[in-house]
Amino acid sequence: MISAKDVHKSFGSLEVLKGVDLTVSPGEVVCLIGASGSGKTTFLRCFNGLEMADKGEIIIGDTPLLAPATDINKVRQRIGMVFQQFNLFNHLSALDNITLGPIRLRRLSKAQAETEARDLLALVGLADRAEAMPRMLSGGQKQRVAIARALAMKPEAMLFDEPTSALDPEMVREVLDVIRNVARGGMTMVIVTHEMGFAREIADRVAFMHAGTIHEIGPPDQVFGAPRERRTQEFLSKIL
Amino acid sequence: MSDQSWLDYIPLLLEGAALTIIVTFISMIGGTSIGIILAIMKISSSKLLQGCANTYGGLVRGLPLLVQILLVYFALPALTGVRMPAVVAGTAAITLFTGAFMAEIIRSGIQSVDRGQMEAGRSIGFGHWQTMRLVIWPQAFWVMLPNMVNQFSITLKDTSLLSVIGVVELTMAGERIYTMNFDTIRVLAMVGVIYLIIYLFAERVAAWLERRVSA
Amino acid sequence: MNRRYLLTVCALALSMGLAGGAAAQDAPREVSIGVVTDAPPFSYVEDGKVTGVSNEILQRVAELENLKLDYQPMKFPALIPALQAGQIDMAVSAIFVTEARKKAIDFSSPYYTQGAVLVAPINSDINTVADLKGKTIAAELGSAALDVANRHAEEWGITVRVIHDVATMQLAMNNGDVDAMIYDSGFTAYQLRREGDNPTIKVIGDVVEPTGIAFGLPKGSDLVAVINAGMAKIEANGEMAKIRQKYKID
Repeated sequence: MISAKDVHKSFGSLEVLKGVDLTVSPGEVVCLIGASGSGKTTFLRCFNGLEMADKGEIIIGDTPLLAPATDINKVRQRIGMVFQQFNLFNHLSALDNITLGPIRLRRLSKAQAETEARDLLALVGLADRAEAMPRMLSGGQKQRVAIARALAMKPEAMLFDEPTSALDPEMVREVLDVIRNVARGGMTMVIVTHEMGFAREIADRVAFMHAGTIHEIGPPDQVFGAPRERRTQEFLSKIL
Repeated sequence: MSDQSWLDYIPLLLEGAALTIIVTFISMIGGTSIGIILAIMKISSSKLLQGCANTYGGLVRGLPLLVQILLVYFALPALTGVRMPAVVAGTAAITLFTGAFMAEIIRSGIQSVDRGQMEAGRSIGFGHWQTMRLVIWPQAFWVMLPNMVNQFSITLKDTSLLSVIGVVELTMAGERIYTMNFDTIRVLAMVGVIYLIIYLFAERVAAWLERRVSA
Repeated sequence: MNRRYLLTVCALALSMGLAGGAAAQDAPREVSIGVVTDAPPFSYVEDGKVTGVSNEILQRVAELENLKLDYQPMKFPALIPALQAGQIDMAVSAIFVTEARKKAIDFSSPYYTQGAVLVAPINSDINTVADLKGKTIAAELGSAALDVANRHAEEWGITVRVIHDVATMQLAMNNGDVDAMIYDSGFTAYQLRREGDNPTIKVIGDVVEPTGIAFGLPKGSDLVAVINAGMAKIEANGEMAKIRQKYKID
């Protein structure tokens, strides 16, 4: 379970997060939607410390992320992140991308790590691309490897930062299929996305962010079907 | 001057060439080590470290290499009482000189690696230095390599300045011959050819490496 | 003022003008000189002027033989290559006349004799040639002293380090990188005279292989005869002796 309480974050004089609260229960999928500049990506990155909140609390499991005594590297091993730009390690094959963390941090033997990695590659439909270098993979394939890489660390929760925004349309579906499978497997997930149809289908709750706070949050049918807030309605009318 | 005699020059010139290559290699290795430290200082968030690294770079790039060689060979022993044979002083001066340029090559190589690589590494749970070692450096290295080979050929030519303090590298080897037998043009031509051969070989290596990088 | 007087004056003026013009047509011959500036007392620069035994001789010869000297400062090792390349018409230092050099360039008549001498720092524990065993000595690139050192290297048990110029050699000796040096006896005598009661160097052994010194010219240069003619004149009229006395080398 992960939670954020009254999170504030500024970049210089620009306050991007103005007191955001969110609690995600184990196994829950929360989708963050909103316009660019609403702070949704910044908020997501606060959960694994890629952005350090200026004020407020972030709790991962029972570990307070922002406490000075907390070893942030250890906490990050418990949360996986998937980036919009994939960020695969370009000098390593797909297989090695996936095994790097487990070998170095989970202290698995090479053989063990590779067995697990191959299983993950099969899971994301890329069993035959284990030896491929990232530059030889399509965007959709890279993102699927990235998801496998994050799963290899056996995280308690996964963060997705606009996972399909950088993909050509024909590859979006293969990635969404994988994410759906991961969700069905019971993973706790927070997903920032513009894919409204997908969000509606997969989310347990949808949070609409605007100008640094969560304006409205609720089950997808409610937020998409009968949005309470005016801003939510405005946003959705532009998108849908 | 019989045409036989120019063959006699070759062993002497090759001895000089060997020293030229050795000094170049030592300077490159030493310079790379210094360059790594300086590059880290430049990238660090400490203004003090940045300032020190930039001061060093400014001094080394601002003074002619010849002046630096003379300073290390003459001034250093006078100030510190440490005696140094010319070849040690000269190699040290060239190493320090190369270090400043290597720092730039390394720094720009590291910074050419996309930020996302560091973020991905950190998000898995690697520490900063661990990520540098496992993710950033291996990628930066291939970017830096062509520049490093280029620096090799620059340093190779710079070693000829050591002739001024009496180090018998290739240029000095040639000077010794033609100031004795006055076969000036032929000896100089041979010296030039040998430098060219070494340079062309290094260039071949650079081209091969560049193909590997872009592959 | 009558007309005849005027005519005479004009004729005189005209003829003098013509004579002056005729003299002006014998314009001085321009000679480019490669000159070494670090070889006192023979060739050096003082108060911005090129001077020393060699240069005073040459300047006197130039006056007598109507030459215009155009100086190009050079380091000693560059002199002979420059003569060979035709970049200079003459080389001035204290150039030893050796057989090897005669094959590459021509020489004027010699105007002095000096040799090579071994020099060590005043506090060195080298006092005789025998003490040189196992030591390293410096010699100037292309100098006759270097040739002497190479030929005696085995006999003296030394390693020879070749250095471009005398200033660098002295610094190398002072910072201990070489144990001694071998150089021209004339220069060394000059240095010792200048240092007076506080010598920084001492001479080891005797002067080796005294040889004539002369001006260097390109092979086949027609200037050789001109220079020699001028030198003969100042030898005959005693000026040569005066120059030697002035620099205390007689």
